[in-house]
Amino acid sequence: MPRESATPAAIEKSAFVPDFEPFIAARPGEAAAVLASRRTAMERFVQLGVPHRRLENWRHTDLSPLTKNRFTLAAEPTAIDPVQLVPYSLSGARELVFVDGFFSAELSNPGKAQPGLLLGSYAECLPEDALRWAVAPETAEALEALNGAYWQDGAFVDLAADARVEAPIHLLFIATGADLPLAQFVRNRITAGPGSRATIIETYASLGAGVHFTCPVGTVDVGANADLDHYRLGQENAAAFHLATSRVRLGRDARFKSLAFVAGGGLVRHDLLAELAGPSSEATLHGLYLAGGTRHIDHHLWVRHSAPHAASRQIYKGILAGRARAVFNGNVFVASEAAKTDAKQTNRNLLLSDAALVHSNPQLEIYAGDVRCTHGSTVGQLDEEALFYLRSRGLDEAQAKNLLTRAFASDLFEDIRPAALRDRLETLLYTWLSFEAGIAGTAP
Amino acid sequence: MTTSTQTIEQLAGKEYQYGFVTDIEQETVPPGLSEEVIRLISAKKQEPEFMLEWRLKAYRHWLSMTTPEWANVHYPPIDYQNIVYYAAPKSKADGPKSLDEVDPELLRTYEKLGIPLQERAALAGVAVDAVFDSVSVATTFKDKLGAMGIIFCSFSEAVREHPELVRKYLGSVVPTGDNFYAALNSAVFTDGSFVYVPKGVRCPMELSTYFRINAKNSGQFERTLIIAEAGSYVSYLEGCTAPMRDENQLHAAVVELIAHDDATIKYSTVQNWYPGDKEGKGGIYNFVTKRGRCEGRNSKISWTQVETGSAITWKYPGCILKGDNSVGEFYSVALTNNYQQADTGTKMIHIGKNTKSTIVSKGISAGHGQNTYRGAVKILSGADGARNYSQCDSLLIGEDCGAHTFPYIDVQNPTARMEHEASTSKIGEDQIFYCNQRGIATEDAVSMIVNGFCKEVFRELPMEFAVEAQKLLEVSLEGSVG
Repeated sequence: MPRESATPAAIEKSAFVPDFEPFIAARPGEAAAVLASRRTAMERFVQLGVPHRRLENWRHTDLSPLTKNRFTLAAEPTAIDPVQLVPYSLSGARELVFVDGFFSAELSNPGKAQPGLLLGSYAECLPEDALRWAVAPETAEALEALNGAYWQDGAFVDLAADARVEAPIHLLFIATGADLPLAQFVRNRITAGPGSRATIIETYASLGAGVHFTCPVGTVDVGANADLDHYRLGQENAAAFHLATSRVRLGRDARFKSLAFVAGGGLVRHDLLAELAGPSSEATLHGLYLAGGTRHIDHHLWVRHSAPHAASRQIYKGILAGRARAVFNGNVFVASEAAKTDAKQTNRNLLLSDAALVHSNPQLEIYAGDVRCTHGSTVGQLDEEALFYLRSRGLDEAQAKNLLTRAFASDLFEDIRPAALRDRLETLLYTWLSFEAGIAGTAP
Repeated sequence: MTTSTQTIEQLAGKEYQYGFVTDIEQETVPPGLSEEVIRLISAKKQEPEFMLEWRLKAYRHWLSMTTPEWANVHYPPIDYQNIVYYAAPKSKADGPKSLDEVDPELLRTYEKLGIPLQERAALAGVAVDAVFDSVSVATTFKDKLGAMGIIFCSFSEAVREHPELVRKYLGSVVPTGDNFYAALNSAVFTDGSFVYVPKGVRCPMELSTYFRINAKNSGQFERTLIIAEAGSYVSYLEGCTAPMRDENQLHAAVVELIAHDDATIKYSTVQNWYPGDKEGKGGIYNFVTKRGRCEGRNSKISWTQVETGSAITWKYPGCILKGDNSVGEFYSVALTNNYQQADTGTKMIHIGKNTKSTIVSKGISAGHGQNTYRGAVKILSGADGARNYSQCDSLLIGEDCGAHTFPYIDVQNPTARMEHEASTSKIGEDQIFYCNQRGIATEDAVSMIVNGFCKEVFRELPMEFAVEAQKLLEVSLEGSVG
């Protein structure tokens, strides 16, 4: 990820720096080494500052609304009624629940112990891991550094070699979204050992409508021959800031499939960095983002091919209504040693309103001679003739639009497993179309 | 593979054909840039006061700017105080009035380049405004064009003879402060071409100029301005070759096109400047700002470029589609061999309703060449029914080269339709094998495949250019094929 230096002015405006010392002072129980790593991360953040629009990677995403708020961290876990989780929890899944950054053992249901599976709170499982985090502090991005300074908790998932976990693992991050603007710094670590297999789902949701800030940083390590499905659902409220960074690394013959489904959040940014480090590895990165109102959704994908014979597939689709803005920035980097790379990148955007705006920026950077790389990007509206055809068959305008819009997104739903998750996502899309985009149709 | 590698090396070993230095007495100012130098250039060119003011304004703005670093090219910093900003061939008396008066040494240079001025002019019906270094030395067919009201002359002449047109349009598409190199050009440009096509006139011949960098260490700062009035048509050709030299030379040109209602401007470039040697030593730095404005309804601007030369190419011919139903086109072939670097593409800004743009870009990388397509398509909220189609293909020849694609797409209108496609691949071994099987040598097969790859762009070039372009591609690729 290319990087530029920040202007000092950008740092002064944010309260993240002055709040750091009191935060440290309030953690007397923490190991000295962890505290030291927090300080190193803070130094890095001070060096970089809050990203601003003069930086190439932040050209279209303005974080100044974020710095105008003064976020605090919840002092203790907020008690919530388990009933409130019903719409979000997934039946049949092993579930970990986090509320405002705190792990809640009472609300969680990690399921029966299975040999080869370690599932629990990040802070409890491996606190010393903070010292050898996936990214060295000197190469961390600003938000990763901020997370490195303030991280509270997150999920720790470790699959031993050849472990097969049948039930999906659901990580549910709940923001209470009350009046006081709270921040939650989530840190997740997923390690899939050689030959293991699992499905992991991360859900980010808010209960109230208040402003909050979610800053998750996650690493996913997919070992040789491992097979990992990873889903990420954004269902936070329209006032929420959600700035996430994920780093994924694939070993030899590893397979990684992800779907980022964003149907919520006010200002959403997700940086996904995937390195195909092992030969013949395969990454499939899918995304569907729905935005209405004045919401802003930004996806930055960095796919790095550093081993031969690897394949990557990106399909990101956006449906925009109201005055929403979407940014798609997909970069495929093929290093000179990554011969026989096969990379494909697609971004399609559907505009449902006059004032919606799309910035699409698919990039190929190829330093190897023997590769096949393609990318495509389209922006458009629904096909007039298809609409006319449906209307001539008796559907009203909204129904016809609803149907065609769902058809536009349908290929991303095809291989979602488990089926319960697919149904939930289809319902979310349908609900969003009916209520936020204003085109009610016949339920799926 | 061994045989084909050999072929590559043989081909790559081909030296630059057009490398030679003409010995002509030059009138130069000492290297360096200051207000005095600008005043001197302006005085030497006998420019009116407004031009000097304009230059100084640009210069002051330039001082406040920094070198852009976002392009995907790498080169040592340029010392702008070590460049000669004015070099004119010493003229007998007040300069040649006809071809007979032109310095024979100069004419021989053109002959070596394969453009015998008189013959070419007579046979091909092309008026050549030959620019040798900085001062235009010969212009042909001027009378014929003059009778139709078409003004085709050197820029300095236009400043003297048609100051009102220059004043009205100069800097109206590329303002003085547009970017670092455009500002530098605005401050120090010495000459260039000026074309004015009056209302309803269809220019009967392809207008063409040959730019040539000659005097050692003299950066060349060309300025081209083409104005097509309502209902007119003009096709302009620009072709370049430069002599061989070890020091890097800077070329920062600015081209401005203005098309009024129903007018069409077709601008074709074949650029074959010295690319540096096999180790990447020397070569021209080509940092160019080219932009056209489709001012009127139904106007059209079409850019076609074949870029095979220069150590570094850095240019983005763009179109501002302001008039309703206006059309912008960009067809490009960019080839990088050895250590050449190219960062090129286009900008299409859709402002008017039903505006259309087409982008076809073909990048070929061989040797250690790095080829980048960088383009922007912007569809503003008022551009109802706007349509863009972009296709960027890259061909990789060899293991050490690179091809990069950076399209920037901003769409703000739901009725717009925007499509972008790009692909990168190498020449298939099966394709070569098939040709070999049919008795076609590897080298010919590659040449055939590359020509097929570029066909869409060559089709857009005027005939005589298309032939030259094809030949150029073959020569430039020689030694890199496998």
